[in-house]
Order: sequence, then C-alpha cells, then structure tokens
Amino acid sequence: MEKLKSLDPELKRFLVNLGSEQRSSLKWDLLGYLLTLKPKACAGAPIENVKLMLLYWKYDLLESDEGLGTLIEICKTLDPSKTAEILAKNGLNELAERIKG
Amino acid sequence: MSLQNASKDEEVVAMVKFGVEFIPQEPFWRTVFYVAQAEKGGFDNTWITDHFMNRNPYTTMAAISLYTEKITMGVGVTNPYLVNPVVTAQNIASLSEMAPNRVILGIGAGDKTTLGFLGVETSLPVRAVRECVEIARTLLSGEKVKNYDGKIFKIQKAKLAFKPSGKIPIYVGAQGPMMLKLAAKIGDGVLINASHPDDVKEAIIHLKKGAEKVGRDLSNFDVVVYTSFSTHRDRRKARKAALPVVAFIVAGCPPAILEKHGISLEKATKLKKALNEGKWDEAFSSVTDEMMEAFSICGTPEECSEKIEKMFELGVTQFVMGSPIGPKVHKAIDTISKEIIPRFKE
Repeated sequence: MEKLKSLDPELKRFLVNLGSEQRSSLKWDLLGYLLTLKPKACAGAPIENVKLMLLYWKYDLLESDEGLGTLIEICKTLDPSKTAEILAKNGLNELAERIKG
Repeated sequence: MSLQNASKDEEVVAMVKFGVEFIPQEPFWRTVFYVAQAEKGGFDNTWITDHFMNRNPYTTMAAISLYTEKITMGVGVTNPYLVNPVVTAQNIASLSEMAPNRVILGIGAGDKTTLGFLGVETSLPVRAVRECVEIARTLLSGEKVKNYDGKIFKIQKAKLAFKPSGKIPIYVGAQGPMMLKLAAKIGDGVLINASHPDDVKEAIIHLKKGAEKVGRDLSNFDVVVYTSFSTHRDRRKARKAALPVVAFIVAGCPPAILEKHGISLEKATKLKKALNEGKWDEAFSSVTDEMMEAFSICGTPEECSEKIEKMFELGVTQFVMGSPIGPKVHKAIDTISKEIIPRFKE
C-alpha cells in the first residue's frame, strides 16, 4: 500500500522522524483544514491525490509518511500559506518555510 | 428489537443500529471521507439523499463503496415521479454489484416543492410509491415485469439483463398515516422523518395498524427514524449548528404540525418571512426552544443519548443522525463514535 505512489524524497526526509503523536496531530490539523473549507474552495483539489488520500484513510495509513505526504500535497495545492502555518504549528518549520518560499 | 418487544432493554442494546445521513452537496470525497469515518466509528448505515440539484446519490454511493467495507448504503429517499422505477431498479442493482448485501433502496413521495420547480406533478403519492415498490422489487428479484397496468405506471415489458448481488431491501419514506400503513404492508423498513418522540409514537401506531391489516409480523421490520441532529460537548455550539436547519424545517412546516408542538404560528410566519428575505440573523434568532425541541435532537452527547434511548424504547430500530450532525461534521462523528454509540452497543 505504501508503494502506491512514491513520495517526493525531499518531503519524506522531513516526515520520516516524526513520532506517532506528532503524526496524529498533523493528520487531524490538515484534515481539519480540508474538511472545513468552503465547498467552492475545494475545486482545485488534485483529484488523484484526493483519491489516494481516501485509500490511505480506508486502510488507516494516513499517518504514514506517504499518507501525510499526500495530505500535505493536497493542502499545498489549495493554500500554501495555510499549509505552511499548519506545518509550523506541528514543528515542521523548515518544511513550512520551503512551502511558503 | 421489534415493535412487539420494544421494552426489553437488553434487546435494545443488542439490536439497535445507527445511521448517518448525508446530503451530497459537498465535493464527493468529503462525503466519502465522513462515511468511511462513520464506518470505523461503529455506524451501521449511511443514507444519501436524492435531490436533483445535488450530486447523484448512486454515483456518491459507488464512490463510498470503494473506500468502505461493511457499512450499508441506502438512497434515502428517491421518488417515483422523477426517476422511472425501472431506472431506479437498474441504479440500485448496479450498485449492489459493487457492494453486495450492502445496499438499500429507499422510496418516498418526494419533495413537492423541488419537484414542482421541474413541473413534475406529484399526484396519488401512496399509489405511486406502491407501484414503484412493486416494479422495483420484481426487477430486483430477477423477474420480468410484464403488462404492468398501474394507475401511474404502464410497463409493457422490462427485465434487468444482469442479476443484482445479494438481497436489496426496500424501505418506504413515510410521514402521513396512509404512507406509514403502506410501509408496514409492503416495505422491508420505514424511514420516518421526525425528531420528537410524540411524532415517532404516532407514526408507530399507524405502522402497527398497517401491519395488522395484512396480518404481518413486524419483528424483522426496520423502523428508521431520520432526525435533525447536532451534538457537541458545549450545548450552545450544538444548538447554534442546528438553528439554520430547524429554521428551514419550521418555515416549510404545515400549521397543524406547528400547533401540535405548541409553536406559535405568528412566530413561525415571522421566521419564514425573514428567511424569504434572506435576513438570516433575524430568522435564526427567531428560532425558539420549542422549535428546537420539536424538530431536532441536539445537545451534549449525554443529552442526545437520553433522547436516543427514548426513541429505541418506542420501537425504533435504527437511529439516523441527519444534518447538521454537529458544528464540524468530522468532529461530531468522532464524538458520536466515542461517546454515544458505545452506550448502546457492546
């Protein structure tokens, strides 16, 4: 399952050392953003990544590197600065800076 | 649980089901996400509404079927006027192939107002639903409909060229006495749109009358109550989320129903006027506690659980949490899964 789509190694580097609590917090923060966006604002969501996200959700793999990476990709496409804010809140400052950059 | 032995608490715990209703207004993936979350949280059913202006319920359920494994999906409800029963049978049978034994067909008279926008006449609703159930059931059992000469439908010859996977129960969406009686006579279950126990009690009386008339035992009959539901640990937040839904229910409610619940017609008229003029704040602030009590189940998980228990005691076998569910849907599903469902299920 985790090999469904290879994650950008650069992104994976930031995620690989996250602990389980941090993974859960990051997952729910990103999901909280996606699930409360106004429906019209979701129009630009990359659909193949969204379907991949649902698959990771189905198999409880959203907290894996690939699952979180997919969530970050979706959020980044919709709103890079909001995504950066969420990443920074979860201690991923360097990644947040890159996304904002 | 059945209508005959509704008072046995241990059976209430063992047999009750929980459902969640979604109006496919949001991007499909959000509905799919919520349903998958509900499945993980112990919900048994999801019901997807059917209104022409929203996303198609069968497409939505097809997507849901790909990302879930056991939750049952029902169209709740389609109507015989806009979609021919043969096409309805084709839709639900196709879906059953993707999720065998996990689909339910819900049929009701439809929403007069929305159907009116399309110039669709909704005459003889009880007759139309009866004929629709008869035609769909025949086709779903793999048989041919031949020379069907109903008052609403005339079908010369129709048969599905493929066999549906598993049994597809048919539920009737019912409000009035005649439709409730029909549901008990011909349905595998009933979908009652009500959030107040008095309304449910009254509906169950009609169900029993309908069953008696045809000598039917309702022990395997699913009594589903569709509620406007909102929960949050902060009751004010739960209430705030339910306010708009209740405001629209009150605005579309016949005066007799409002009076039955002790709701001032004057206040209801004022609310309706504000809604029509788009004065949302004025409309929502006109919603009274009586209106909330009559047309929603909302509050903390504890408060909601008490109300749900009353419904099960009356003979309800499936409790459906409908819009808005809570201030934030994913958080509400989580709360319900952790703090409400476990009280009723082992």
